[in-house]
Amino acid sequence: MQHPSRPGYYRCVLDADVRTAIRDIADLMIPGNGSLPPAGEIVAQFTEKRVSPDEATLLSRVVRGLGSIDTDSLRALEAGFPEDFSVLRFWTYQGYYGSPIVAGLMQLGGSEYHGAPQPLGYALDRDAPTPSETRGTFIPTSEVKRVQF
Amino acid sequence: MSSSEETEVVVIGAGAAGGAIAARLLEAGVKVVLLEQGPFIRPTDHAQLRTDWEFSLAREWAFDPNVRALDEDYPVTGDGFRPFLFNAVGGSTNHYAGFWHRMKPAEFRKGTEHGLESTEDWPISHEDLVPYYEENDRRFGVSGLAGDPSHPPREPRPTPPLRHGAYADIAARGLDELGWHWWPADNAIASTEYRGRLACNNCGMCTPGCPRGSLGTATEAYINPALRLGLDLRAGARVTRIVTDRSGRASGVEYLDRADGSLHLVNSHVVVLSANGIGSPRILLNSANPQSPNGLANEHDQVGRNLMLHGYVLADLWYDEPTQHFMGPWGASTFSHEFHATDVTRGAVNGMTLTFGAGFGPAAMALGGTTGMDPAPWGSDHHAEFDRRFNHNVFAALQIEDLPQADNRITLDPYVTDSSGIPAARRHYRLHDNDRRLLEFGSDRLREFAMASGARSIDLQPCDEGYNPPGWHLMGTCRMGSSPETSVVDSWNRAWNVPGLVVCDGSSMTTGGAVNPTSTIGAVALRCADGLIATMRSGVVTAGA
Repeated sequence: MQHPSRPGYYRCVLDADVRTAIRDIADLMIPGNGSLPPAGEIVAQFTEKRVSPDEATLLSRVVRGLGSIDTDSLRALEAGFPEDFSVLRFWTYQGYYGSPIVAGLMQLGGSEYHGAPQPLGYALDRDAPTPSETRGTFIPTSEVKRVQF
Repeated sequence: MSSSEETEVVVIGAGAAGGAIAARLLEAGVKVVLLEQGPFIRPTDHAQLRTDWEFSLAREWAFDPNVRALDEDYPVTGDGFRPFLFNAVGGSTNHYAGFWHRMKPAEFRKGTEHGLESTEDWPISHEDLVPYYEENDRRFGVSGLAGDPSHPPREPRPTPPLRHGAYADIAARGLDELGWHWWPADNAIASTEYRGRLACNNCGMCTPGCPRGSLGTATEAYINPALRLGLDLRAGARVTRIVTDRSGRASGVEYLDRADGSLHLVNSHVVVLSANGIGSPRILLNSANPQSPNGLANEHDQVGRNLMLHGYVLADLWYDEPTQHFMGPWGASTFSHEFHATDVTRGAVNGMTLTFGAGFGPAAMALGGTTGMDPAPWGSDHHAEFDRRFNHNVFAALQIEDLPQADNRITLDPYVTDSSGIPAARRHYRLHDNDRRLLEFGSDRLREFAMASGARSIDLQPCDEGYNPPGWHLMGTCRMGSSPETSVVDSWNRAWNVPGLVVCDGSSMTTGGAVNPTSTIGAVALRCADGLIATMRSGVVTAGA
């Protein structure tokens, strides 16, 4: 049986207008910078593969409530309805940085981060620090006394 | 009823306590059935094998069962904290950092020390648990370094200290600058190959479980070895109630098989309840019957009371230098017990642990780190601000011992049920003024640390308005004590006034200490199992006997 965290588990389909809005919003939130691509299509694909029916309902309400999709509308949503705005930000940032494309490009740009933590893990060839000067004491059972408080 | 059968002991809950008890009994030749309402987790189920691992942590691998809302979960209604627990074989050890502390001797004697609110001494001592701490450490393959002068001596750790990213050096630098106690943390993570388990490969994220088996879970430490000996483990078995006979003795357990809805009865000489600090009182309250109308073992209205969580303030510290926060085991490289003992000049009793360690990955850093308090802005500045956050974070946790209070409690929700129609748990928790003063004191210390270690800024969660702590540690709700008027079980975890019933898990803890509890839960469970073996050989399992 497929674990529910796997993409495709919910088999939920986003309405076309909602998918387009999610893409356009993500492009506004994370534009490309020459090294990394704009978020739009990456986030739209990420979202449509993972959204549950309840989440699709919530996203539809938020993006359709925006009216037009531009910087001013997003700023107004962020200021006036921060909880709704945080839904859009959550999906955009998670979708973008949860993408193997973005992780791969980050690595090409010099980052040590390589995306999925396993199976590679990270090589750390240095022992963790230990105290050069030891400090600290404890109170033995027989010496526990009433405090004056 | 689809089936009825006999066994010697039935254990409810395959977590840190239930797994230890079931394995120990089986090794002693006792016939055991281990029931777990959650599934058996497979290595490929874990989120770290995918790039969207951080997203999974916010949903199906979330700490909070109300967020996951999977079929094996039960709702926890109410308020006052975020309930964190995991329903699966291995319990919440599937989903933890493995930060591995022992309680210190004085933490078992808080009744003697101050006795505030419903604080009592444990009926056992640190010394009673030392051999069990050691054995539990060996089973889990704990890594670390012996010799910390802030603790009684302990045996060399089963595996050497873990390696960490640069965040560990930053923590050491700041603590040395302040002249505070610090020590490399013990972790229930094998740093070298250990008893057939792979060594940690520093992947950066332990809390959605470990597909390598390096993280010491109850499954790795106890259940897998016990399965090789023939343990009768039933995953997907949701307990509906503990059954008693006419004399009031616990005589078995009724459970639903979640796969097909069939109802089963396992009759037993002893019932061991190890379903965590929320699940155990819930089952006792749901087991009310005409003889015990207020719930089992609840003659003195103690079941569910005295809930403790540890008070918490989490912090994101931001540095200009690289911190490598996505490398190494999550959550615990270094701890300080500089402020661990009571010092009444702080205006409060009890003490605290300061913990320093790794953070999350890029999505969490964009969303504001572990606290989420200051997300990277969106728009044209996003990439530059992201670069200032990612690889520049150190996580810190301030954890205090909270007072047991009778009104902080778990009850049953009168309206909400789980997917099988069994009443949900309801939580109620309010932070005591003593504990808030400790958190304020500790928050000031974290600010000092930030300055001493060269942080450019610190995001510190509030401990006044908006306080909504993580409930990682669910303790005290069926606590161990010396009297049935103020506790639920005796010093051997036997329920007062219900022969044949044993309750052993975080709920048994009389006080919580200022440290992560899983090591203590495991040690108490091994001791409980030894007591059970001795008692079963000589006669009836009865509290106080």
